[in-house]
Amino acid sequence: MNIFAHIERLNDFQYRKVRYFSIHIEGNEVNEFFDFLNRMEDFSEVSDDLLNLLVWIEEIGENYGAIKNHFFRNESITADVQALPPSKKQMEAYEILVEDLRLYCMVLNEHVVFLFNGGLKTTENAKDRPNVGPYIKQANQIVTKLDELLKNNDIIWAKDHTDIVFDKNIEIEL
Amino acid sequence: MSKDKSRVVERLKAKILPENQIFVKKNLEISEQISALLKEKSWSQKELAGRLGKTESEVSKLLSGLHNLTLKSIAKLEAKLGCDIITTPLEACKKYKTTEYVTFKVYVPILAQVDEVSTEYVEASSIEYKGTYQKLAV
Repeated sequence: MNIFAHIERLNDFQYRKVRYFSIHIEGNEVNEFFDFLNRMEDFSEVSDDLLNLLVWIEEIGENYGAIKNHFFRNESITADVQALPPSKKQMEAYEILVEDLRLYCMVLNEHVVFLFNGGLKTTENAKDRPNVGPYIKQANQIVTKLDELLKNNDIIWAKDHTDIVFDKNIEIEL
Repeated sequence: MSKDKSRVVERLKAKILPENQIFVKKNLEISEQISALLKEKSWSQKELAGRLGKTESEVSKLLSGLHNLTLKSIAKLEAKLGCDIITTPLEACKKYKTTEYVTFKVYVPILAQVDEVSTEYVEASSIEYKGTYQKLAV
């Protein structure tokens, strides 16, 4: 069965330096980032980490900008999940890590970030990560699709590369 | 009663305490300070990892701005970098009080003609102020 999704601007997460977006899978009540927050909200052991993550997203957005390989990591995602490393011209999935909490994302540039889904990482080995494995796979899938949309000009840069413009009805097949 | 999934941000933001904000803010400031020191020394994260005996992944975790840094790990970083990463306000006060004098250059604009303001500036090298400065009571 084909799964379709569309891009959603996260209106509560639009800051001076970073604008955040997510992906809304058709049929789901909320976008992927909100789904992550809802699921993690139920784990009392990570409640403080989850709140810190929200503050961090705001601080990065307001005062720092989304600096790849400084605030966002990608080595563990590409190293043990993707069969082949992506080509240099292809966008990659990144992760935001708060202790055991993992949120997967795509950093288009310092000003535009897509927040996807994630979970709790319980072991070091990717194969033994039932909690985050599917979300890493999903993040890599979405990144590939969004990369195509950028290359085909279905997502267009705006305001000196500090924002993006897209058709709200554009469908992403996952 | 099932929760309203669309209002999760509202629910979580209401739970944020000042300590969450302080934790993240200070953490990011420390991370920026380490990055600035690495830049100054022309060290990569990989080089710092090597000197600390850690993996690059562990170092990037330390610099993420979300890791619960211990005083021990900050001390190790300061030892390897050879300078302070954090300074308490009291310590900063002592440090600045012991600065006996400052030398600074003053640049003044040359007004070529009365009607025309030149954008040219010269260094007033003859003007050199030295001494201990105290805040004057107004």
